[in-house]
Amino acid sequence: MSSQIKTQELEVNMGPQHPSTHGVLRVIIKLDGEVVREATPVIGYLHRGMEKTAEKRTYFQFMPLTDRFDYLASMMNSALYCQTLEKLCGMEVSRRAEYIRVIMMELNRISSHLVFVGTFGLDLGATTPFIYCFREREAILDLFEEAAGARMTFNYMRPGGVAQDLPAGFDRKCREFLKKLPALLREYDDLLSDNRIFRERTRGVGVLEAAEAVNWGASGPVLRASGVAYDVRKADPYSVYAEFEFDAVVRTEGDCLARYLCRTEEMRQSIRIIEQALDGLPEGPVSAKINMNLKAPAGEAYHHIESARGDMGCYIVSDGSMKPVRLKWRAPSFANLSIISRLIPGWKVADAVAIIGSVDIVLGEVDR
Amino acid sequence: MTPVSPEEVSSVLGERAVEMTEAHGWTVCRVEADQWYGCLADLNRSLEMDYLACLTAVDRLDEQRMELAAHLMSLKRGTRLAVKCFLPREGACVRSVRDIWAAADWLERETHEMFGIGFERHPDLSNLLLPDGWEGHPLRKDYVEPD
Repeated sequence: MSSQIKTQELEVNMGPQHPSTHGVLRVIIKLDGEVVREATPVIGYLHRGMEKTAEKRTYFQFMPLTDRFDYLASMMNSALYCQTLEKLCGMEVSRRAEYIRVIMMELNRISSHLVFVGTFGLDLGATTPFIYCFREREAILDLFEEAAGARMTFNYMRPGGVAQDLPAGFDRKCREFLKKLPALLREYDDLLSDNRIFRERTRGVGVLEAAEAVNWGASGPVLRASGVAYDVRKADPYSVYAEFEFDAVVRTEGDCLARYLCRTEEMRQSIRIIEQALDGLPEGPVSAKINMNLKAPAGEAYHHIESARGDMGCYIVSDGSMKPVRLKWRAPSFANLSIISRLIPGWKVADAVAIIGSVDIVLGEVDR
Repeated sequence: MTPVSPEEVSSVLGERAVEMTEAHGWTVCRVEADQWYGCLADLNRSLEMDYLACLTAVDRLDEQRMELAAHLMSLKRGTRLAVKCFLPREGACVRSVRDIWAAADWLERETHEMFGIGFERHPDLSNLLLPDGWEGHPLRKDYVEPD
């Protein structure tokens, strides 16, 4: 009977304005019934020509714009830009400044992962964790606001250090928050990872093999959930990360659930790092006197860090003037997103939503 | 992670490594454009360069050339290496490395639309970030923005 029913392939647009696409992503999917046969991501809706803009601004003028690549982890963007410049110019950074950078970056990793946990739950129909996660993220944004004066795009990192020292009371407030966070994270585990519906919809779904993940240039939790222990903080230590004890979270399943569990465990590791950094925070200056009309020596530098989404790289080519000849941003989401064309086919539409969500993209850095 | 030593690069590429420099922790090796694909394939095979971190171009208008740069890593060995080639500013084309690294798919598409560099045998070089039918290649130095 069923063999007599003729089916027709249907082409459907998901996005660019669709809640499951986390911004302005469009995915053209070809459907056979409810099964996706082909998925083509279409990007560029958020393209702002940032790399071109960099060539027309001085190194300092471009500084605030770096926050807008991956706007959920702005601290990491600006830290990467500063560290690349510091490499190129041979600038020294005080240890106190590097410690503060680490504290900010790891807080940002937690806040970014909280957004992931919340929105991923939302993608799968669980609205409660979203509210909780944003409540906790709010506490981190408050800390950022005290230190940097802004809640989202901070402009806090500077070549040679950070904009200003930690405000009075930061240490206490930060520790208080870190102390209560583990219990809250356990609560979210109850709501999501211990929830049967959540597990059924993520376990074994959208499996990415290790070799394939490497070949596609995947990084961050997307890569580590597939069993590849590559975390830039460990593999190519930068800043003062070598001084802290923490684990690179690796899982072997490669499915949506593994990607989710990698991030929740990473938050716990970030807590460890921040606590060590607060304990060992050295005294000293936090910034260096740098000429606002900074000229980078002719040459090039490529530097990379582990952002919340993976291996984020910055390539600056200088001709010795005040503006770069070329600035290229290696966005982890860019490579991670390209893989969905390979991951989604064969799964149902609802699974496609889970797969896109599990990759945790930020279109700001994909489109640049 | 450590840079691949120039000796190791030479042992794989031999005479094909035209120039070798160091740039802040990266060994930078330049090859001729017509040997771009062959060299990268050999590096991928012999030095286990399994990860294409970045691929992009630089428009050197003053020197009348384009530079293509690939930043490779070996996650297996914990090494890194940058490979470059010089291209003419007009009609530049190299063979796509998409069949070596899937990561090259979007990176080459972006380099194509932004610089006008061709990638032979790439399955689909349609615009990635720019709207369809966009005129000009925005990251070229002589690009004029539309009103």
